[in-house]
Amino acid sequence: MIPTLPSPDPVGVPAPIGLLTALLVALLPLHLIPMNVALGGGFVAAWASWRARRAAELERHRYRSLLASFTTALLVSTAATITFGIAPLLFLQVLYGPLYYTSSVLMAWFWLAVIALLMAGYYSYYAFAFHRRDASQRAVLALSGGLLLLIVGFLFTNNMTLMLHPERWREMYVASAHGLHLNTADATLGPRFLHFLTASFAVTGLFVALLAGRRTDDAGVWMRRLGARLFAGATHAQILIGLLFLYSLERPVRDLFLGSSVRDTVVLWTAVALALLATLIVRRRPTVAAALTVATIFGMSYVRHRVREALVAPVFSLDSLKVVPQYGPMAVFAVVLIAGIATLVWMSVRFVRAGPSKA
Amino acid sequence: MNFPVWDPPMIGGGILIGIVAILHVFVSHFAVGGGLFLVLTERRAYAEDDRELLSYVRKHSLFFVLVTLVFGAVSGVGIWWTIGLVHPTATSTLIHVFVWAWAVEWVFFLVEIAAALFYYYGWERLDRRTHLIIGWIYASAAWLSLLVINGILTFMLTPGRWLVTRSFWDAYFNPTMLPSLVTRTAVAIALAGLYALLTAAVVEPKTLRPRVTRYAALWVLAGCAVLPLSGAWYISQIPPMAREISMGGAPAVTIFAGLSVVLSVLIVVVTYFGPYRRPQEASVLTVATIAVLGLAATGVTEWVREAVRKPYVIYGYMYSNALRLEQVADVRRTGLLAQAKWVTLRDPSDPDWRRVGYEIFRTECRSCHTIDGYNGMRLMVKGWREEFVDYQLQHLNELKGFMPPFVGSDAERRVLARWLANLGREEPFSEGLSIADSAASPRQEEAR
Repeated sequence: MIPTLPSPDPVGVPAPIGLLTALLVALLPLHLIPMNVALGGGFVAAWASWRARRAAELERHRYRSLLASFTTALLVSTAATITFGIAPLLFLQVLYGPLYYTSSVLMAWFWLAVIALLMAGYYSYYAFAFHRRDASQRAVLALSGGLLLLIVGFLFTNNMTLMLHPERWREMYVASAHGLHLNTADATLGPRFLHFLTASFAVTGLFVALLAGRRTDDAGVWMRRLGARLFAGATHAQILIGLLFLYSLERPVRDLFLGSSVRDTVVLWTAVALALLATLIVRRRPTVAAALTVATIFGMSYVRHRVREALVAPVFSLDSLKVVPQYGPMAVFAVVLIAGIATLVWMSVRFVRAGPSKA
Repeated sequence: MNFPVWDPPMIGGGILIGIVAILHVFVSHFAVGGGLFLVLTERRAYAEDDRELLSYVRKHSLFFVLVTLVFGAVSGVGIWWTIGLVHPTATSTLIHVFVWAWAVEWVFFLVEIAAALFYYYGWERLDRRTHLIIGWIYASAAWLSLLVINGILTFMLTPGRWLVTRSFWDAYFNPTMLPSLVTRTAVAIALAGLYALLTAAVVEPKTLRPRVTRYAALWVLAGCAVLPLSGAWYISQIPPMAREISMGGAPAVTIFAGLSVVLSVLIVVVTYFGPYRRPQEASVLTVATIAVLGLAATGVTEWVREAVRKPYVIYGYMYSNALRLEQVADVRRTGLLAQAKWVTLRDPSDPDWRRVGYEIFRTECRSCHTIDGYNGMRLMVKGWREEFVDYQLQHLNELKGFMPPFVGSDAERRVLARWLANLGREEPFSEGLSIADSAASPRQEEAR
């Protein structure tokens, strides 16, 4: 049978595979973390706006305090989600182009809808931020932003899983080339989507606790407690969902994390342990809990990559790609990246030092 | 041939790319020129201690953030999405040749987005000097991202020495890179003025309007003043055939190229005699007209730029239907069906000639043609005899210079001719689409 896996690009991969893989794995968390806040934050902001309508004075003050930080946070986290999403997707296309483009074409209309949904969700958040009067309307705006991003996430999970199953493509394409397929028959789809969704609530909770910082006023203490509870609750639920996800994976892939590969097993369970540890200390030491959670997310990004490698191993291997390194352009990137980071740091320092707005 | 072909009924991929790209270009060039506009206007307001002008810049910066950070950024990602769906093979080439250029562009984009947010949220918070510096950082990062993307875009029409050397630097520093950069920078400045005309038309207090309007009109005129020269320079560098297509070779393209010039001249004339000469009389209607003219000019110009690249998607390297030139001889030898990965029938003499014909069409023609919609084949071949269609297919690139040759075996070409001729005899929305919808029968799958 003639294989239905597209051939890799004849131009060749312009850098050592290891470097590109490392960039892919290391940059993804920078997208995931703001994505979690942008997604979970919409629902938390909607909840707080809704509750603020008829709450007593003291409580209302708490909700308002929470909402005050969220107006900017939703906008900045959405901007960061998009911006930091570009680099991983770029390296994904260099490494896994034959898989990614094919699954995208099969679900073309849905994949294209991501752009429209994202734009609508993003503008909902802007409307939420600039609409100051009616609390119910604000709740609806934040909720619709959160729901739209939720659908975007669902479509992402579809494509990221469909690209790992070349054996399904041919039948789908023969049935219809209109680009209306989804990967809903996949047993891992539900658990995987829930896994990202639950993480969003956990990270948003952590973010709320961090926002409260060392505040000792009533609203600050309340926010810290609320955030810690959301983080711990979601993370505990996440352990169950994670297990469900693990057991939904096909046997040889699952076994990698259950002993058949020492490194993969160690990374996964260390990441889980760090997250659990974070739930224990989040109330007293939110900053340390955040550091542990970030470490967990980097670990999980590696685990995610290993799942991908293992699932496609029978038909596609990164080692088979032709490598034609472009060292000059690579050096230019390194220089620009350092200069860019320096510029970002300079602007942030200036902004933070200037203190809160005088207005 | 390598990737499955997305086949949405009626809609051509070119149309989808066009819609997303034109809107993105109209906003992204504003994002580049607008940064310069903000920071220069802010500086002028400080220098002249003009509080009214300063309050205008602040309001304009909100409009700027809403338009560029959301629509500009997301629609930019949208182009990437769309070309990946419509032209996965060409997109893959651009990603592989230029991955480090894209990565560099990503850093500039990152700085650009962050600077825009710091600029917008920093009006009250930062001192004047720091705020201006961040404005300059924004303007520089935005222009630098244009610098990078411009080289990748011009590569598609003029890959230059890359065709021989396969070197990144030859690909990036290609023959039209510089003239296009100057042109796009000028367009960015003109568009910054154009958008400023819009906000100036509604700014309060009303006494401020004529001043800002005239100032914004100056930006439009300054940007447009560069265009004839940079445009001529650009046209002198494009491949001769591309020039011929836009100057008579293909009537539709020629008309659009002419429209591009006419619309640009109109913008200059309306801006000069309206907002520039009589700023106090400039109404919302006038500036909205200029904005619509600007969008139309952007649209037709981008369309021409895309159209003159035919029959290639990457000039001299890949045809519009994703077939690389180096593959042509081999596909002619083995036949298309033997190498196309996503067809269900591989024998051109299969009794189900309708499906064979449709699958050849989908593999080789669908990237530009639909059956009943955009660039629809049914109308094009209406009344044509099978022999005549077959003759056309044999001489496609000679009869229609903007089309690639048919690549495949003689038997495959004859089935395609039969399918096309039959298409022309049918009622619209019949056979062709029903074949597209019907799954191949199990028998056919086994026959493979």
